[in-house]
Amino acid sequence: MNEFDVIIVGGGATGAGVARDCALRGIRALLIERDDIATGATGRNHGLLHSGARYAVNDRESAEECIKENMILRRIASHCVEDTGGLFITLPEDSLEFQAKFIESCLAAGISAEAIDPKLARIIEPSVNPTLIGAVKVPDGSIDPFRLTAANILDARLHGAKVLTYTKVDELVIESGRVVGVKTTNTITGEKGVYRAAITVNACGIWGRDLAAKAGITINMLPAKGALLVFGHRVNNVVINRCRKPADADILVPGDSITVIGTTSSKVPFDQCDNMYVTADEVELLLREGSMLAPALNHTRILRAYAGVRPLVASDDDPSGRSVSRGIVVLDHATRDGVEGFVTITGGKLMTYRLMAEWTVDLICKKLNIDAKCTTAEALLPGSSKTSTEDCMRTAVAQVGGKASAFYRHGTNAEKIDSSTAAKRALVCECEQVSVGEVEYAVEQLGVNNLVDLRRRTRMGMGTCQGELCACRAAAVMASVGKSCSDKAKADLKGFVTERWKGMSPVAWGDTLREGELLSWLYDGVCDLSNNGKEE
Amino acid sequence: MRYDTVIIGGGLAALLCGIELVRNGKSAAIVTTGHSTLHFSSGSFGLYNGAEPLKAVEALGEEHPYSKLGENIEQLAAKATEILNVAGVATIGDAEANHYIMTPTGALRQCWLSMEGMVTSKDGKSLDFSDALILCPEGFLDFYTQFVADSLRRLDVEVAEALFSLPELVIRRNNPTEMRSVAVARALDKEENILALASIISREAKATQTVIMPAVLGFERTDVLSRLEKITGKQILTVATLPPSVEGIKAERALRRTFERMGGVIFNGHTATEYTMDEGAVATITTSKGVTLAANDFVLASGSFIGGGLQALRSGVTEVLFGADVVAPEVTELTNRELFAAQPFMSAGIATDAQFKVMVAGQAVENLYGCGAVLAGYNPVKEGCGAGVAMFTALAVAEDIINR
Amino acid sequence: MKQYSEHNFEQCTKCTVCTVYCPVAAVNPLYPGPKQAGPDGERLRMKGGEFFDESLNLCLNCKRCEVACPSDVRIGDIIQSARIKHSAKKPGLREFTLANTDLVGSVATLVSPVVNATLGLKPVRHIVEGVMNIDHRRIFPKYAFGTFEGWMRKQRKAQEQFAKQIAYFHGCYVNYNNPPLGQAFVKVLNALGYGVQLLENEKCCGVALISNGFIDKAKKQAKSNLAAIRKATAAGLKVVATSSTCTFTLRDEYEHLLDLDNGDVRENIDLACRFIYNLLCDGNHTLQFNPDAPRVRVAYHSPCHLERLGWTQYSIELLKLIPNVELVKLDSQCCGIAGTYGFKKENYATSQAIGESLFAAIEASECDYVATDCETCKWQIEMSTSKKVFHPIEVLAASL
Repeated sequence: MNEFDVIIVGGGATGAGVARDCALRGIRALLIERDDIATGATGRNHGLLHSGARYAVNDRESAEECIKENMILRRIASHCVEDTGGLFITLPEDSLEFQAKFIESCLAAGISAEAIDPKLARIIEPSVNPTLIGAVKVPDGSIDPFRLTAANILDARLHGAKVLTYTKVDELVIESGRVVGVKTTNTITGEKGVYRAAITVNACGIWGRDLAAKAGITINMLPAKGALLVFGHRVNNVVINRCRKPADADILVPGDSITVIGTTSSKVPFDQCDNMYVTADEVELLLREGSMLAPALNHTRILRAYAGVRPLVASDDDPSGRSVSRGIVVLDHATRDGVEGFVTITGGKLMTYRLMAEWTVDLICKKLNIDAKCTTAEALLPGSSKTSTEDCMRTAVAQVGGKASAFYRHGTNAEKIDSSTAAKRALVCECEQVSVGEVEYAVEQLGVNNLVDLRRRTRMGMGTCQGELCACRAAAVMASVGKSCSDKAKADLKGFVTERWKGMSPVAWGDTLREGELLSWLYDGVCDLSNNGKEE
Repeated sequence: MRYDTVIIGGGLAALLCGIELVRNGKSAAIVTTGHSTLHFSSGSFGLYNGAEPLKAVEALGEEHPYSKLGENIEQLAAKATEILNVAGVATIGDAEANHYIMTPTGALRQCWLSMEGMVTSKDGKSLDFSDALILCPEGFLDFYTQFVADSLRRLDVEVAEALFSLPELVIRRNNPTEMRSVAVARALDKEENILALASIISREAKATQTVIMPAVLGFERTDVLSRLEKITGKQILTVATLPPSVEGIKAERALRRTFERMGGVIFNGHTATEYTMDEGAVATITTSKGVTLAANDFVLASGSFIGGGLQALRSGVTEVLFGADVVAPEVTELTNRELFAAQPFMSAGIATDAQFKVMVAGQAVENLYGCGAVLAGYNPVKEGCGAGVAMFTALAVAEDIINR
Repeated sequence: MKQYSEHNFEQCTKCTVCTVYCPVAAVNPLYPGPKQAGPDGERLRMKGGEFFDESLNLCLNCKRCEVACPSDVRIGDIIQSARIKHSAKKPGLREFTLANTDLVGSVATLVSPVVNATLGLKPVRHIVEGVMNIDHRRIFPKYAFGTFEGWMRKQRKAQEQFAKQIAYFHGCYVNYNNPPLGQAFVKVLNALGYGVQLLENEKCCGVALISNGFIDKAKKQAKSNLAAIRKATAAGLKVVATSSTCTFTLRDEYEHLLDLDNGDVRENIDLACRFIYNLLCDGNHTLQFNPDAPRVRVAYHSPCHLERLGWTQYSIELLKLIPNVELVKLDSQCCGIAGTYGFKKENYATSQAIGESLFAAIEASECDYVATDCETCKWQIEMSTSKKVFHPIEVLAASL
């Protein structure tokens, strides 16, 4: 039972995409993720559906990839995508000459880019900096990376792939210079496992360096930290970018019920990649630059700060390691390092996850002598059917406490959520309207192990109160559907509110600090959860 | 309008101060933005953590509000208890030795007083019942039976669990958000629902003598628990829920009514936004509703950040109304990134002199007192002293005003 | 000073206090409650109008959530604004009739004996219910024969004799249904040395237009009223209203719901009880009370919009100044009528359930009658209890 054609290590968008692509081509795939899905760089970026315009001037290849994938994702992942449109604005301190070059480059890359009157830009997006002197309309949008990854995983599983989360790869099984499988430990149960496959795919992002090292292979990577801020509501409904050479904090993206500004860029040591905090200087920079895009950010509540690590890969032909490859990097370690059965997929970006998967699986097919075409550009992801989602929304809102938010999140799959009784319709998370039925659906169908996983599948605890009101309810609902005993539920609850607070702490002033005080009162005071921890 | 004393804030400190003033013949008005943090009450009041709280406070440093009360704490504790009881907030416990109250997640937490009828333990290790039925309203999400059940079992209690419903609650549950503690409590204000619940208790509890329920027994009525005990012959105990806290709301209402019955006036929905000074003393305050109030003395009981007395701007912590001197770390140092560590912001607050007169620009304002959570120098969560500081400083301030 | 977010709903910490004090959610499970309908829902509605829930129409706009909120969130305004922006329910004949209080009133007062007699007939009330969905158990306030404005025209000369003058915003109810309240107001003001004028062309304040969905018309009337108030203000006149709801609408709803800037005149719009109480406190004004006035026990009910204005205490203090009045202050709670809300058939049960404990308290108070500053509270209490209801100004006038 532990034999597969391919083992994919890493449950980000790329790994999920590879698993799905394999499954759709009839390749037996196992995906192994040490944590939950989308916990690394996938879940820690803007959630921007790039039009590619940002790269048009400096990196034509990336720009072309982006716009192609952009159009594909709108079709195959419609419930993960919002067609917000995007603006590239020129401020008085920027040059309009750049704008001309920008438009020309966009058009050359196949990205529609239309200069519009700044007055019109203010009508299209009222929050935009009113001092703007130029604006270009591009087909940007927003994409929810959690939903996207979850939908890929769901489809992979529907087509026979196996997925193991909370499973750490301890070592690669290497037989006569060839990678033939992995040895693993389940991080929850401690259970060990051995899985074998003809090919192992390294889709670990920045952590891929460590996996490769287990096969004695060196990949030069540079961890680049990017910090972002989440605002309490949708400040803008159109993506706002700065029309200048790409720099810090110049993209403002509306996503579901919030808006995100980002990002910064700084080198971090590898040992910090697992535990990143956003510094006061980064917050300052994000707010300063962000409010140039939309001045309202200066007086909008900030829900939290977070940071991700971009896996920048040093070009193989540059021994100094300084020249960084921006594009997709597929490494066949058989040709590169003489290690058969091992492939690394890295570089790239969330936008190109599908293309990265396609290239990787093309390579796998070649190596395994399988003749199967990639269909991921056409086959819709589960839940993604625009017209029927819209129909569902219409019927959903007609009822009190309707499932509008659920359809927004799960597309047509929301029909699988039980809302037949008052008990199932009761809201656990009031900010994001997550019902008991939706929690149960996520636990049963979407591979949820704990409250943080639940948050990634449903947005539970991602709203204004950051779980202050709902975390305890959710812990109880999860425990009661048999996922955990009460001690585990309490530990989970404690872990969840701790994780929420880590994001709030760097921006804890104003109403966010007030919320923090309430959070602390309820869980440290009224519930005395720190004491609950001691008895275990 | 003119009063002897105007109190800014409407929480536990403000209400205790107000009641003490009006029952000593002073006129007093309370100005409050909205309802107080009693709405998130655990059903207990803390004096200080430790087996013997009165002993524990002796060792506190001079920055702690208790250090200004010195040896009066014991007497203030007695007076605070008396006022709560006069208002109809029945409590158990005394200041000599803490007891323990069961929290919504089943922990046993030290406290000085707890509201009558809640699950408590003398020593934190044992309970005075050996079997119990936990009875929870069906579909009520702010109380999880299992948390409490497992904790009780750890304390060697034999536990049975049951859900109950009433026709009115079945209707109520059709609302996806409003099946809150208060909705259940309101239903139990009605005699027919009490009778129905009593018969459910009798049926479900069988031989079990103790029945534990979330604290949802009556919203307006305070006799629901005793009615149920009388009808069923069982001992009924409650455990606090997640907000809103029915016990806390009842306490706030009882204190407000007592204050008003004794002649106090409450300006609800008013935020004090401006003030005038006269020869170094506060002369008037004006509220967000355009009401100007004059008084001989003013009490700042406006709470911490959540209460609205303090405000953390990116530039620093300020006291909102008077711009009083603040003792607080830099904004970037206000928090500890570990939620369950001592949070520095909890200890932020205003500076006062030995009589709790508020310091503004280094000078104590002669007729402006501070009390409760707006004060600096203590961590109410970690020290378990929020209620004690609120009530004792409020009463000390009231005494000073009365004696002047 | 506090720093306010452009989006006031963000000040919400999800503390649930508002849910405790919502009179509708307490009795009607179809209403999502102020937290979900207000700040929670507003955040979602920013994603798109499809997140608007028509059950927000069940909010009776009492604003008790706002008075309760410790974070100064304008919950009621958020809900009403969402209705204005998103509600797909178009107002019909019933809404037109209920909302256009002045238009309907001006026709009805001409033929008031006929209207009163007809609306009073049981079969007619059933027809009204059938055709208009207005509950048959509701009794329309009787229309007066002749308007207050007509009466005032005859007083002009006499009123001009006073050195000090104020402008009176009488509202539709005084004009068409209860001119005696306006007359009582004039009597009290005259006793204080003030002559009373009317605004140039007063229109209905628009509260019923707003709640019934006629926003454009409400705006038009509001603009007209603001112009009249500005004119009075420029002439040095305070504008005083007896109705707490009219006052609240002119001062707060114009700005918050109709998006009209009234900042220049807002402070000049006052409520009768507050205006008179402040006069009596300034040391220059006194009233001569009639020593023979009979002792009365009066129960005071504070209307929701007066609570929101924050001025309840003025009415109470004013009543306390009247020597022959023994005052009982009722616990502040909504009576359930909320203007035209309670007249709608679908709201009748909610409306009466909300008021139930108030009615019981009134019956138990052993008062001779009830006093309140709001005309619709008066209708509701008179319909639902055995007591008559008067405005504090009427109580005051009767004691002079």
